[in-house]
Amino acid sequence: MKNDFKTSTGYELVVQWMAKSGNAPFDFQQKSWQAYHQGKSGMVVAPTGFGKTFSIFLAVVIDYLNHPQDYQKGLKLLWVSPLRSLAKDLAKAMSLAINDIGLDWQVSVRNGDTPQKERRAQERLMPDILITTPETIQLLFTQKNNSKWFKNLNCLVVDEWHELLGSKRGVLTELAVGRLLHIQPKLRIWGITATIGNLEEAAEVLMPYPQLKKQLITSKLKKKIDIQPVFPDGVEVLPWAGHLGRSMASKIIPIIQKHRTTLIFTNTRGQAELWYQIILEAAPDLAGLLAIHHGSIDGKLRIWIEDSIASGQLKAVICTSSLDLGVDFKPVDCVIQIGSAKGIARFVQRAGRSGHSPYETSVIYLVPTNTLELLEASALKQAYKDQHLETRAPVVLPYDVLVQYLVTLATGDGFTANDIYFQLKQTHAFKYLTEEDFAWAIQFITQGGSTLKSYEEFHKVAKDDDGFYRVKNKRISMLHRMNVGVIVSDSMLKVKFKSGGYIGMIEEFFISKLKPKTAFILAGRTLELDKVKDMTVYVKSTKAKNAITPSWMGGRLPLSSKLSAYLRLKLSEAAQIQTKDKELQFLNPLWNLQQSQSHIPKNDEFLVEYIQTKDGYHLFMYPFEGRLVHEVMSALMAFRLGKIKPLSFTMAMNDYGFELLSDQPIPLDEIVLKKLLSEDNLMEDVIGSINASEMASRAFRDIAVISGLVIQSAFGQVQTNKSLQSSSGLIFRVLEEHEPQNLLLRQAYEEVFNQQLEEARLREAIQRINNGKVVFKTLQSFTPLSFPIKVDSLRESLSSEQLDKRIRRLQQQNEQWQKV
Amino acid sequence: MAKSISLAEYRVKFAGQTLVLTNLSAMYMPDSKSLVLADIHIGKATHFQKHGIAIPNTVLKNDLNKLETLIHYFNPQKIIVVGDMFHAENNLEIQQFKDWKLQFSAIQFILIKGNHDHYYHSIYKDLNVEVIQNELIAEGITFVHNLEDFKGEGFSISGHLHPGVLVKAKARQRIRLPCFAVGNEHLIMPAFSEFTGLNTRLDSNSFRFLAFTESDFFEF
Repeated sequence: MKNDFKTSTGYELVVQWMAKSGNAPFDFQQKSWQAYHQGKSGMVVAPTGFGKTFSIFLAVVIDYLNHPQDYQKGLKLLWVSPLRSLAKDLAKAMSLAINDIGLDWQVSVRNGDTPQKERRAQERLMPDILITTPETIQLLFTQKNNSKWFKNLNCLVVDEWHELLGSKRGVLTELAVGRLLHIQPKLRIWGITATIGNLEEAAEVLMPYPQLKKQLITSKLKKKIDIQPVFPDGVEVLPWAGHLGRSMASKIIPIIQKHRTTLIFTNTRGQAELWYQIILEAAPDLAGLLAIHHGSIDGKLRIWIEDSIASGQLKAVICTSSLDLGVDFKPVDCVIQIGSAKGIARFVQRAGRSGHSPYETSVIYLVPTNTLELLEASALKQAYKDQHLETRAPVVLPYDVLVQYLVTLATGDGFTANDIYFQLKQTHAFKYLTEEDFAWAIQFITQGGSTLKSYEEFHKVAKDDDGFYRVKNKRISMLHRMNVGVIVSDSMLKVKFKSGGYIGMIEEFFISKLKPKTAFILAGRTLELDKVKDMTVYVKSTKAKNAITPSWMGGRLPLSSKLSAYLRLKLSEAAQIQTKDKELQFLNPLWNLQQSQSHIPKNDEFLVEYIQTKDGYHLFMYPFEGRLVHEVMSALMAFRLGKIKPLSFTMAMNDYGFELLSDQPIPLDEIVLKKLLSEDNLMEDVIGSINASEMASRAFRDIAVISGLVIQSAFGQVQTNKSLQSSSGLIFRVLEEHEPQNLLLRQAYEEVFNQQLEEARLREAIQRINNGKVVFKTLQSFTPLSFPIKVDSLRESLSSEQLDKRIRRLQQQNEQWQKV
Repeated sequence: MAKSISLAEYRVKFAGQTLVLTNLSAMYMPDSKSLVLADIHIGKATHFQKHGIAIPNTVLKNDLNKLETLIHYFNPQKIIVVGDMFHAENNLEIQQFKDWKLQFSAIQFILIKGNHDHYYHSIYKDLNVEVIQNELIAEGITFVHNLEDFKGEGFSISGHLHPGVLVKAKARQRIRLPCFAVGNEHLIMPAFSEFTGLNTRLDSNSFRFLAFTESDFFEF
């Protein structure tokens, strides 16, 4: 059989075509061609830059050349990618190959950017290959008689599946797989993914269908990554976040100059803005060759920047996760990561943005923003060596997506309850959907509320006499189409000069906190707020020195638990005198101080520091579990301490630990600590310590939009739907009061527990601490581990100038104490 | 879902009168025996439902219960609504309101038209609501829907903006409360309906914010 395949016409033609440009198929490509040839579905795992696209795309081409009779007119290959920006280049590459090989196939792109005219043309006659997004497939499902487009489909490819898995976009994809397989049972499904920690599960989530023959094809090729930590001139034994900023600029400039094009990654848009200023100040000759790229930069400008990177016109671009993925930029030969990458997979992803072609080495420089971050450099190196990447947990039972999907189907071909329930139960996301919950969803879209009440004028979806559920009202169809998808963007406002001229977009959340005449930074410019009117922020240029850099929501990524584990390991290693790790060696003075003043926790130890200063009584704990978990844990500790003695606390945290500060002594000893860290009544106490309702209300923001309770209006559409404007917070409040049994509310609380409170991870952390040894130290001054947390807490309450003074004073005080 | 309503008062001096602000989003003017409120948006829930958005319409019931409590408590001669009494088209909730209103036929209802009130020419009469196009001037105070449209001099009472305050508490907790925004010359009413949002962006230099909860008042 194998030999048969290798002598087949299709195989020979394709290999010849590759040979013309001096290429030979990689082993994993051959394997996927073979598997496809055998009628299998499956998943291809390969690092970026090794021609993952050509694994399945060419498999389909070969199969067509060998068995043209199996292929009908119309859509043959549906290619789903999470990234719109990739589509055009992908289509170009595919068209080129098809022409060279000599097929007359048509390749088209369909997504939010596709012009109306082209869409209508596609609907009349579908191309042979369609490249699209999960959202656009759902939009196709809202069209009348859409099944006819898919009835001759041979293959569905889900590209970059690792990016979709773990999000509600992944669930949209799962639902599309289910429906397409239902329309065309002979369909072959292929996922393409980068390496993640749970590959087997990833394949199962995409294809939980027993009738599919599946194969997991993993490339043995490994991308070489050269990790270069950038060392500061000296070791600050009391490090603080951001402190190294300007001094590190002098180290970054030579790196930029040494390379052709450098991508500089920061974690937040705020940092991106800040570093843009810092680098330009340090190297004014980079003006015009340095650009800034993030989600708030005008779309057109972003495209221009991307084109300029591709054509090599830019020397360096400062960016956020906005450039984590996307088109391969050939000229990029160097990546700089400023601050922590927070996760191993993200780090590898970013590193891979340089040295894109096979066998080329990716170069990544890690620039710490405080000396302690060098510990992370060391942890990342080890983790990459061990190839321990994070897993992505799939989303289960998102009722908001369920509701949206049902309305999508009702807007399109309609559905019957039995059929769709059966289809839903086959997907991974809705495997455990109960009949009651399904009945609720049907009730919700047909009657609006619970079984007891129905709203007389609510007719979103109606059941016809033939048993099919359909949307009858044109306006409802229209509103639904506007809302399809699960990417909920924060309400964004345009930023314009008073005198005219568009600058970019900014979150309403940020602007709502600013008073007129306040200066802020956007797109590398210092602007003064004039007024906000009609979804537009009017500003003028200013030379003000004290401009605020927006801290965009969600800017603070949590540290992944895999990386946390490596951090604890490396810290443990630092406690030993002989380490070969040069990052750890560099930090020696810091370790010495930590060890002599307090203690360096080993892997099975949990360090608690109780420090008395004239500011008050500080309790520091170091779980190394990331900011989110620390936020919950610190509230929990405060709650439990409050039961022992009524105290009020100020709390602060970073990714390594947290602080509780009280103006009165905190009664701490080993017995109290045991109680504080106990696993008993864990979640009850957590609920007692936080405002769950408020957190759920925030989580409800996305749910309300996805389920169609809030109309997400694009610009220009705002006016027409003004009478339907409301906010998710408002609807949350109304539903909590009037319809507490609504499943969407329950989902909001579940999302809080799973994602924000990270219940599982919190429990694991508490167990780990209890299984190990608690080391309790009482001290008179700040330690290298506690200092950065202390500074972070000051930052929130003080302006930057005051902050500098305050920190200097603290450092001096510490020195005096040490001398005593 | 009926809940017990407790009424808290807060007296302020404004335009030479004593005004009784209440935590039920309305205010009583003893001198003219008028109850003033803004932005009830009657028909809003149903308007949303018609567009496929399932908002419970028990919202209106709560709003009317609240208004009933106020009427029994103050026994006003007139009720002045400074705009946005109705949300959109004539729908079931308007009929519900009409039925409810029958029990208070002795009270004069005055509406200063708001931006949402433009559909209703025929039904105001049917509902026995006196409609005033732009502004009503009484005892030196101008009643107007949107302060921005007030071009005159002197005192004004308006609605439209749905004023609120944002209270930040420890551990990143935030609480939003509705409020009366009271300045030297201008007073802005909170939105009456519970199905309305809050605007916490008002200029704190020009106004005192008298915010309220289910049981009390707080000044910011």
